[in-house]
Amino acid sequence: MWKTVLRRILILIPQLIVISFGVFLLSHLMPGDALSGRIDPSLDAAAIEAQRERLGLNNPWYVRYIDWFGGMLTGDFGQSFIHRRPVTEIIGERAVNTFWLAIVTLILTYLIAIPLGVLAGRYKGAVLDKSILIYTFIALSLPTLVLSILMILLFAFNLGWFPSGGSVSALIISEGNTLVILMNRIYHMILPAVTGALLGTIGIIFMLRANIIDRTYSEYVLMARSKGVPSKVIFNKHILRNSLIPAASGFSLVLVFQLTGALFIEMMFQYPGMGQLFFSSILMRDSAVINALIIIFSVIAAGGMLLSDIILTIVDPRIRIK
Amino acid sequence: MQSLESGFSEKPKSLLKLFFYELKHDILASVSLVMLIAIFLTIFIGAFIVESLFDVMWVTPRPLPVSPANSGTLLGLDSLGRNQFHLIFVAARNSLLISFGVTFFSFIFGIVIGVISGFYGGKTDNIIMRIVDTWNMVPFLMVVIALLSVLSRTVPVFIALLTAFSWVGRARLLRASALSQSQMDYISASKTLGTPNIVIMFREMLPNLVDVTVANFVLTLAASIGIETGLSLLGFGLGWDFPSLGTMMQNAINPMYLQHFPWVWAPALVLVCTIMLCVNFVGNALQRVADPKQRYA
Repeated sequence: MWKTVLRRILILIPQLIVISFGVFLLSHLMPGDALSGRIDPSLDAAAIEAQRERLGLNNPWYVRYIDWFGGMLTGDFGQSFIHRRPVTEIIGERAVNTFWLAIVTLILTYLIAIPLGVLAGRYKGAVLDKSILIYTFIALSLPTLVLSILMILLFAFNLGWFPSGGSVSALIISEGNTLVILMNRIYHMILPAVTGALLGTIGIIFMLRANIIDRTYSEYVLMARSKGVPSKVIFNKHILRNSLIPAASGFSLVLVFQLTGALFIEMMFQYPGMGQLFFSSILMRDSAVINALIIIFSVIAAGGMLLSDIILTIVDPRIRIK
Repeated sequence: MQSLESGFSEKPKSLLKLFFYELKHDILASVSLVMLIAIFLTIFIGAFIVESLFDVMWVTPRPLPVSPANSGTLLGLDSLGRNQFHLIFVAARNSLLISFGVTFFSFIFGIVIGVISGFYGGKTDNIIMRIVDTWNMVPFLMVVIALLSVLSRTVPVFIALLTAFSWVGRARLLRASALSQSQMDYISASKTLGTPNIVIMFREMLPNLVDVTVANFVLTLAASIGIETGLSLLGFGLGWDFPSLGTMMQNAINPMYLQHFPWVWAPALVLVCTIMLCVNFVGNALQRVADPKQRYA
């Protein structure tokens, strides 16, 4: 098994190098470099040139690429010329928010998806199954942003149950009670998290339903039935367990999905996470931050796929490469 | 015995027949199909009529949008004074054409690469799949948005960018189906007869992949509509001077518009959701044709 995992990790390295090179090229399409934001217009050209030389901006492209790549390995993504601060610091502040939002969304996703998927599979063809399927179709047909708009309109503006944006109220922060701040943060998180979860459930419901139906007609279940095992026991012990495992082991992929979806959801809910940072950086052409975020999301996607593969090989011995 | 023999000698049902069979048992899908055809026809004919009769982009800026009741038009005017009812036909046509374009081109690439990868297998397959995997790791919406912010935002650029990233999924799908086909006897028979590989791949194998392709084409179309709308809505699609369903919804980001001027964004929103819902229902019926396992009991 470890051989499989090692092989997957080894393949990952060249892939990430290729992606980082692509991002490096992308950054050259954007105007400005690490120095642009620090230039005082009154400085004379020679001083600017000397500074460029000192920062290594005049080096040939491959030297700059290696510098940049080496910096990333040590966690240094360079300087943001809009914020005039290290990119790592800026992203670090936002990453915490995005991470918690993604975790809450992930939990909500499974809380909604597992019962619905199980019920749909259990009562295949019944009214319940059909209504669950219609729910998934409606969710599938709502683009993330459209759903966010509708959620804000309904729950924040019309009903006034939840705040329409932000991650915490400024008033609460000034009071300084840790527990109250935490509750307020969760309160702000509910609406974006539910939005993300509603969209994230679709795949899991489909998969669970298909798995359960598939197992129901499999030979080992037929065998159990002919032996006279009560159908309740068959469903709970033989069908459900075998169907839940593959659905649950893909949780890292769902997490990746939620992190990517958070890009848009954060933008709509003005939630100060990495997604919102990305859009504000795009508007300000802050290429250092944009590059760093693209790299981070690639690594997250790669990590998610790797983790789900590893979990699958542990759970299902048939997949292991001999 | 009689029925068994006749069962064997019977020609396999054509895909179209299976599709109609599937529609007969799925009211939602058949209603969706009818609605979809009606919507598409209305949009394309309507856009043609509207464009030949009116100047849709006639702009008379005003401080606020005018409601349907006050302007005497069916859907009111937006803040640029454009007649929303005229605009929505053109916008919907543009959105549909872009989504069709993206889906079509990503399938062309997906089919060619997927079939080659699946047919040759082995080393070729391995290399192509590693490339596909790498491409798949790239957070494509981020890259598209970053590129759109620096490139000129024209329709071909937009279609090219979205295609560049959405062929990956198609290639994977086609590769999996092609791989299983390539192990079948008719392929090896054709190989021993000396048929050129390219003929085997695209004349003999591809027709057997049509069911998977068609089903996924429809579902990809729905996804493309969603992505186009999303990007334009955020202001990273085409500009305000190019009406699309996404740009018509752009105002919804503004809380004031969201609360007080629903006629500016709601029609486009309802239309997008209706189209996507219908497309998804039809696509699902097609998928059940392609994969009998998914059929209802």
